[in-house]
Amino acid sequence: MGVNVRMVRLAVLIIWAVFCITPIFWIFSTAFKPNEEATKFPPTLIPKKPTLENFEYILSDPILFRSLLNSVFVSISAAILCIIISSLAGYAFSRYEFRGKKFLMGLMLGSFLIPPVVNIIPLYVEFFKLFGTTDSLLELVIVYQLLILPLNVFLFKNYFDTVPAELEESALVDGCSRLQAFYKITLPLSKPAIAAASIFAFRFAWDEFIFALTFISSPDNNVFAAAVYNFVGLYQVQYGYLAAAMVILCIPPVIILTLFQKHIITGLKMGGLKG
Amino acid sequence: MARLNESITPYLLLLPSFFVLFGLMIVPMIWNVYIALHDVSITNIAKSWKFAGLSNFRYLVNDEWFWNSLLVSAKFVGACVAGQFLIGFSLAYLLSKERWSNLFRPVFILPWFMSIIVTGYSWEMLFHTRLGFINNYLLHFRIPWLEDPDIAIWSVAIANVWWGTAFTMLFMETSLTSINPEILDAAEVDGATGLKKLRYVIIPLIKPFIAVNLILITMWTVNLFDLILVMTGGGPLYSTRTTSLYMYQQAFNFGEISLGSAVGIVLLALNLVLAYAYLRASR
Repeated sequence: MGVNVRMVRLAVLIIWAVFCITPIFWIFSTAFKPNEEATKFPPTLIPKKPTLENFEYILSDPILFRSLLNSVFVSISAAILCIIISSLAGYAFSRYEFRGKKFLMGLMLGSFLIPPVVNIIPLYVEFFKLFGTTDSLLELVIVYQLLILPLNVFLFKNYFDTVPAELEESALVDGCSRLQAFYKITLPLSKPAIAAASIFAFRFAWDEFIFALTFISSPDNNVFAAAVYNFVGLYQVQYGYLAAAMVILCIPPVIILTLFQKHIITGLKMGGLKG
Repeated sequence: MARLNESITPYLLLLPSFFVLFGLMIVPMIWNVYIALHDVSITNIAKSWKFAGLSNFRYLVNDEWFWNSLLVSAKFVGACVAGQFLIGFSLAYLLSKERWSNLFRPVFILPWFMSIIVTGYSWEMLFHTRLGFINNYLLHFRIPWLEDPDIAIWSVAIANVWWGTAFTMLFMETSLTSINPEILDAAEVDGATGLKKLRYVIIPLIKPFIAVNLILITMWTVNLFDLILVMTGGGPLYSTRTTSLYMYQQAFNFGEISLGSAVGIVLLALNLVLAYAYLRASR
């Protein structure tokens, strides 16, 4: 009886595991097929003649290559800016008592709940009116702050809560100002939080594509995900190329996930909606 | 003097964050109302706008495609929330009893770490009628997964369940571990086993977590349209155009910015209701 129950359970879990892996397997398989094989019927499960020509094609396309560099630039800038802004706010929420603190924290938490996409139209109009154009990578870096800021503010707050305030107080006695104590004592002790926060910020920016698609109009300014979307629309689908582009898009998150698994888990725990 | 400094310091530290929040969240919300009450299109966005009263909302009420989009949204949200919750909860429950759970968990979380665009395109390839994996390796007949207006929305929902279930699974795993094992032992002594224990002991105990989880995934699914944009663009015959996609396409494909804003207000209202429910349920 017990053995049978376990067998059924394992069967269900294995079926779901296969379901989870299949789409990823399929893009990897297609990415390494030469184009004749990718469009041949019936499709092969594993490439007969594995090739890198799809990747060569994607990376040698000047627009797509440029967009890849833009993606790296936007994601890193967005992460750095977010770390600066959100660590300051997290510090204020963690160490200070002040009038309106509860309200401001509630506002921050509440804004975390409303998906920014609902506001995409007024944001577009606002940026258009302010800057005369929305076709700029720097504007994207600013817009992306909204996507990641609330999560990281709470991540930093919860982490700073675990750093003993006594350490800073002894620095204050030694003549440091409060802010000096913050960036000389507390911030260096918060490397795990900084790591987790930059990973979140980088990933959000790297994966985002609706804002990029909407804001950016010139090919020179596009980020990779949006450039691939436009590329598919323009040239009909060449599945080999498309799959190769998807694999490229997967690489940074997969590397980050495997390298920093521990930080991500701490980060998820810290950023959890504890308020 | 030092005291005075101390009292404004927290506000100075918060200034950049709230500048972002104010400029990118609150101001746009107010602008949205203003835009919806005026006549703004992509051609006159740089010029001055004419006041339009409620005509944009009147247009929506009379547009059968707007009503159609609400119906599509209802189907999509219903299917995705039901699928993600039932599967996510079952997986969490099964993993809690399984010795090898650490082997399965990373695999189950993998889809959630894929971006929307990767999810969309890989499922489009799987669903491809002639060359797709599903029709060739799982079935031996051809289902037009994304080409039949009666089927397409459910196909997109499958892709979204694939992507999003991991969140519910993780959330439910945490809530299951929050149950005091002594209560479960006591229930077993009283003769509650298997499904009975699940129905009468476990589920009532984690009801608040279930509520929070359901509200969150409902909110995310109501607003989600990037996946649909990638997979079908709202077609065929508008059969996958949800209300959020209708909003986006009115503004950025047809240039009717004010109409899009009016839809945005409807969506925002829905979100605020759900956010309020969330804050109440999570207390």
